[in-house]
Amino acid sequence: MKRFIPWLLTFIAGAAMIIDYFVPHRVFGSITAELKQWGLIVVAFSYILGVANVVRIQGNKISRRDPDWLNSIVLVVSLFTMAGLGIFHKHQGEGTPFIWLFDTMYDPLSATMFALLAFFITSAAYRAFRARSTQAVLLLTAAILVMLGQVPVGAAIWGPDQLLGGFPGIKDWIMDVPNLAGKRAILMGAALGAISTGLRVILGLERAHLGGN
Amino acid sequence: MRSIAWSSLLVLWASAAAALPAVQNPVAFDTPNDGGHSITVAWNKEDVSPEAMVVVERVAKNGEAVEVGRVLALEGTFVDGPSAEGAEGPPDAQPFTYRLTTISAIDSLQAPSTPAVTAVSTAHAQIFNTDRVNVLLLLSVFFAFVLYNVQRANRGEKFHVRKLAPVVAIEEAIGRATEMGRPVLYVPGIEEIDDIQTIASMLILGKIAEQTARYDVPLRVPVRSPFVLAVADEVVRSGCMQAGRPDAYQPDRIQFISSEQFAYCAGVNGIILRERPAANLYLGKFYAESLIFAETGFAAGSIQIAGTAEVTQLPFFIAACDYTLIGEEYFAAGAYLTQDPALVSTLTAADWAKIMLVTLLILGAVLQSAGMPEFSQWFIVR
Amino acid sequence: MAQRSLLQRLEYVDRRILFLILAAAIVVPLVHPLPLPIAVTPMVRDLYDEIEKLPEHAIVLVSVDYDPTGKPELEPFHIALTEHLMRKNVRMVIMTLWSPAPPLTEAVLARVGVETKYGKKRGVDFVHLGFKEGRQIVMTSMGSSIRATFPTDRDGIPVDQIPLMKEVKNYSDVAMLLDISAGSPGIKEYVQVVQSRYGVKLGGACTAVSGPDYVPYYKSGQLFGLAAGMKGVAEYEKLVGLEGTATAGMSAQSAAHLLLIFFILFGNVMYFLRRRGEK
Repeated sequence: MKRFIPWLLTFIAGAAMIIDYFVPHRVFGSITAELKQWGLIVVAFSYILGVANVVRIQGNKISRRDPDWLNSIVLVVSLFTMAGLGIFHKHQGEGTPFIWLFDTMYDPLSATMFALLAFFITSAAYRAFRARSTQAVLLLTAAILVMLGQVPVGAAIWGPDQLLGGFPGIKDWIMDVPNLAGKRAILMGAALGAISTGLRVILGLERAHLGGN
Repeated sequence: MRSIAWSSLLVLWASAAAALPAVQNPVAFDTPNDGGHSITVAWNKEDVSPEAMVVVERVAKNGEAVEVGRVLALEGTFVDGPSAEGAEGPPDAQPFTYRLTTISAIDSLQAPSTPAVTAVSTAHAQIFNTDRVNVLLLLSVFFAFVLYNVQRANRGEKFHVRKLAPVVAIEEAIGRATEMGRPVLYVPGIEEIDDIQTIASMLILGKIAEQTARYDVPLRVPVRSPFVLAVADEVVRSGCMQAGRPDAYQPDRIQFISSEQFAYCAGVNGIILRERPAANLYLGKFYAESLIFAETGFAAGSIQIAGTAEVTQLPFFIAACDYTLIGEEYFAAGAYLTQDPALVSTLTAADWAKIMLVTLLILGAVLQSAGMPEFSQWFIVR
Repeated sequence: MAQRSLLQRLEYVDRRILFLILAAAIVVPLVHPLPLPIAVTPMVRDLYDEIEKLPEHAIVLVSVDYDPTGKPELEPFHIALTEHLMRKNVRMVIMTLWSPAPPLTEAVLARVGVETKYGKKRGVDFVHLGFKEGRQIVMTSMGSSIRATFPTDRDGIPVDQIPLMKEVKNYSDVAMLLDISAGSPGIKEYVQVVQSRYGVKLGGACTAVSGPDYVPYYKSGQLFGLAAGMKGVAEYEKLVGLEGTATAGMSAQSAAHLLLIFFILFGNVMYFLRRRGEK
């Protein structure tokens, strides 16, 4: 019973969403719209759960004086400061404390994490692009050709008005033909896999996500 | 007196001459493939002034008229139906006619046209969207493949699935973690629970939790969404119960980090660098943070296995991880791990569907190239 | 042994050293841009040439469809395009389908000095109609009447009182439509909804990510030209004769790419040397 009722709800909701795609009648549409609203509300309330989880885990670290417990204090203080400013103080418009914190702390920190990608691509490429096999040679050759085709230096060495369109022309061909073909093939396979997984879940063939014994 | 009469006639004639022409051939019909409360009005849009605007009035059986909208005459159609502004549209099964008056969009002094009136029409809701017959047919065929193969599995037939090296490597990775006494990190992607990749990740997490509980290996699951936290928590708990090790379930190890992408990324990186897991499993939907995870995991000395259907992130995982499940391999991993015949049979059904798709693709390409586009037009989804 | 261990150390250089070298390779060209030759691709050349052919006082419709996240790649193009049109003495009707775009547009107009440096009069030589919600509906509506779609300009002045707008009814009254596109709605929608239906000349710029998706439109002739990504914008800047931020960014990007290629080749050389030493 503990697994049957969740499965039944999964089946009803899943089947309703599939049917909704084909049945335009507004009575059915209003039922599925209501279900979607319920989903949104449940997800919104789940953030209370998330905050409680953060406070509990970090609180335990602080009380036990675990290694790096000072970082846990910073985390909890930041969480309540930002949330408090957003809820109890003006949170929109230039010059407000919330926006100031967002502009001076959150935005640069996000940008910094994003900027790490440039460095990590370098170390990943240096490590991974070794000619260990034929496929690896193809991979690193394609990478080098695309990188050269993408910048002015490559065009200066072998320009677009020369044979085969130079590095830019070769780069365009790699991106437009084999890359696009592979991308579309993966997408089609993944789409079939996704439908298959969804069907397994709706029919109850897969129940691991429902928990229980 | 006579000159006043002639002047009046001249004025009347001049103003009539300046009036805009009415729209031609106005028709009204029930909007097809909709949920009701909608009637479409159409007229001939050739030979209309580019600055003419049509005022559309809905006229009920009792003669009561209500303006329902204005649209440029060159549009040629107007849909009287429910709108974002709160308009309800015409009630179903009631007869209405529509009165169309042409006015100038820029010159308010120009006289409007005489109204053109449509025939009577009524709104109805349709039970089935006929534009989507193609999708229904293809889905039905796929469902039939799945059900047929599940039946075959229930009858005891065996299905062959090729070896998936990344899935085999998961067991080896857990063994490595046992030897080294270090945890296994499982990152279920950064999307919400309603994403199919996250659901697939939860299915795999259950099997992983069972294996790690059996070998007494700590399992860390940092999540980006509180909803996924709730599901992951339950899945890990039941995995530990399945292994007969309820004591292996540690709720603090399933942790909500942050719903912000790069804050989550920073949090997971911190876990990797501090706890130095023996194995990192990245299974789910990822975006830009995928390479940051993989490189940090490499620096920490972890064996890394990734799986995603996100095409843009696959190259990063392939370059930086030891094993990668690509696209549908990722969705197959859950079935592969259980070796349950009914689940494995669905992989065969997906293969049949793929063969069907490739055949249709080749046929469509040949027919399109031969100047017969009708076949491929049928597959357009509206 | 010592040589082999050196080869091994070189093959697996501490990544922090790689990071430092990369940081230097990006920062130095940004501070001191390198005079790199920028070869112009046919796609950008065609874009420039078509605009260059415009007669004096021609009217073009400029659709500004980007937001602050698209600024690094597209604002340089917007600036270069505005400069180009001002030098040609071409009149602009500017509108947008993206709500954050109007202030970005005003910033570009001020930066180029359309009113100050070029002495153009708002309402006579150019008009900024602002943002309109509706995506493809706005696009098709402009095909009927731009004046009816935008009854006032961005400052609330009725279109009837704007001299330039007396000459513009719909797409048939503009020499071309130029779209600066960061996503959707943008070039793709203009091609599908406007170009095929009204036959208007369509060109523009887009982000590097979208570039490969729009190249087929250029090849089929639906776009007369396209500047894709920072590279395409740098090419356009070169043709216009500007050294803008895209050109400066190319130095850093070139240095980074070349460095990456060097690292890859270096790593492979060390790998093969080590393998030969082991044999």
